Amino acid sequence: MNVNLRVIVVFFVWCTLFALVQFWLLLDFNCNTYFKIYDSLISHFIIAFISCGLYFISKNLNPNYSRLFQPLAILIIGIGSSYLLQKYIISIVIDDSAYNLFVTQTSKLRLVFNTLLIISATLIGFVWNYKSNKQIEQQRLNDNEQLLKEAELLNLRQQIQPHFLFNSLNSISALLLLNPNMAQKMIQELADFLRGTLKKDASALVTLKSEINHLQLYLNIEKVRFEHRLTTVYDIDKNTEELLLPSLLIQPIVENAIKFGLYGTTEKIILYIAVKIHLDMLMVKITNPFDKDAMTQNKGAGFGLNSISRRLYLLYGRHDLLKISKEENTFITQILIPQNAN
Amino acid sequence: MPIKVIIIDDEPLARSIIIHYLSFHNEFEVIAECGDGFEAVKAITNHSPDLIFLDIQMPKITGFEMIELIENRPSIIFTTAFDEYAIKAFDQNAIDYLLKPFNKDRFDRAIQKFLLINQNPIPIKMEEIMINTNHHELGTRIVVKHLGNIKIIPIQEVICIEAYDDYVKIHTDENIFVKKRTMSFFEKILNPLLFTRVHRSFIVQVNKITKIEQNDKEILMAVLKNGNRIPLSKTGYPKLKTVLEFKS
Repeated sequence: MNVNLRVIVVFFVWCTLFALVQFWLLLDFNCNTYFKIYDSLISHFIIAFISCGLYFISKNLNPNYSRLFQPLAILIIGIGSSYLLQKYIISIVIDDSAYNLFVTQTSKLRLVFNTLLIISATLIGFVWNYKSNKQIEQQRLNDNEQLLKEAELLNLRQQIQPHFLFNSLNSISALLLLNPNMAQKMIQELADFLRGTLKKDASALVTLKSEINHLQLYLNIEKVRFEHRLTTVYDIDKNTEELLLPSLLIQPIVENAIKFGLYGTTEKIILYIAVKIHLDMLMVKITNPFDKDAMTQNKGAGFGLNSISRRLYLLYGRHDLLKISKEENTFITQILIPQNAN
Repeated sequence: MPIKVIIIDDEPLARSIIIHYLSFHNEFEVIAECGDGFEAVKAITNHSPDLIFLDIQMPKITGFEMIELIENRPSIIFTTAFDEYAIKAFDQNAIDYLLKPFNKDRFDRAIQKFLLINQNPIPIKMEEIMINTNHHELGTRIVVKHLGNIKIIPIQEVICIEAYDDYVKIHTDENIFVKKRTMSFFEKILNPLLFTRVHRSFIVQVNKITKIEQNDKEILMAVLKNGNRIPLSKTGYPKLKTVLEFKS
């Protein structure tokens, strides 16, 4: 139920109850029973009405807790006007001077009653209002965070490198003259690779098998570009094929390895890709050679791995999933992917 | 006499397409193919070609860094896959640039342009190209030729750079290297928080300074970690002071 409607209903039920209380109190006095009923109902209907009014005013007030004056003034005006209204309406409805005199005589009592009821109603309203505001705020914050996370994940997922794309097209252009069948094969592979890269959902999980397929498309294209210079060796445990991992996670690491290994040298290189289960997690290990002397050239290459590390953190909340190690002339990148996170 | 051509690209297929397109022009002869900048420097020195086709992104050193190392520059047609900034620089300084992939018509136009301009070659302003292209090696290392070898100096190893007529001397712990370059070029590309031009003739790496003292002629001198002293000019000293204060 809508919070506002709930507040109105509760206030009126609350005041009807106290109307009964007042009626019960009035039983001790010796006067017309109908007058007592009218008096009780009118008094508390007005209180309920004023309470609702105060609730809606306070709801739209800027919650500025340093300034108590404003809400206090409104409260006092509310209480005062409730009493005056009661007195006025009762004098119209009950055309009996003795009863009206009785009303005037019990004014202090009525005022106290009104004050207590209105203050308690206002407090209840305030608490509810506060709670629902907080809930809305929390919801908004959560939504915001989720959106940011999604956007960041999408951003981090490596975009296709323009250099790779245009150089591949150039290779195809050359193959069209030298070996049209090969050109067609490469177009097919490039198309499949691009399709895989364009998949939208940044946090979707895919099987290792399909991720390796995507990786092979990429590596096949690089092998055409660099001919005999690139060799890949796979060592993939059979029982890992159906395990899940975030899409497009391995390919950027391999791309990074190629940047270090292949682009930085004119020698032949061998790239090792090993996948196994380690501590109930999927472990992917990529080993590539690198030329220490050419290291300064590859300063920018760190970015690829930073974004991988950030992605793993956003998805799993852990900083220890990516490990990098350098030995003499080899560079090892290792990632762990928890399997029962979701 | 045929026009001598060298093709420099790290991808064999990219070279083969240029060879194929060139085969339609009888006056050209491909005398060498190179897969990286080091090979290219050797080949160009040995064969002194009239024209080179040059890729920019290559292993070891970039196409730009390679050009700097050759003495008698041939005419250059750049071939590149994707270098937004480079294109601007080429417009002024190269015979032509070919964006990969390019077709035969486009290639033939570049050849025509070469034949036309070749009568009076345009001098290449390498410094301008380097600054405009803004490639990521810029300001991180300096490539020099030393005793016939190519040496890549990471920028952290540079102690100071000293003006030397049309050249600069690059001081490192290991040696002093000479390169044809202007001081203002280095002033532009080096990180101002690491390197400060403290004198008309000196750019110094701030981290290499141990102390500042006055010599007997009341000139302020910076004492470097290797014991050398370099003078600080009236405008250079306040500049250095600002950097040092900023860093501390």
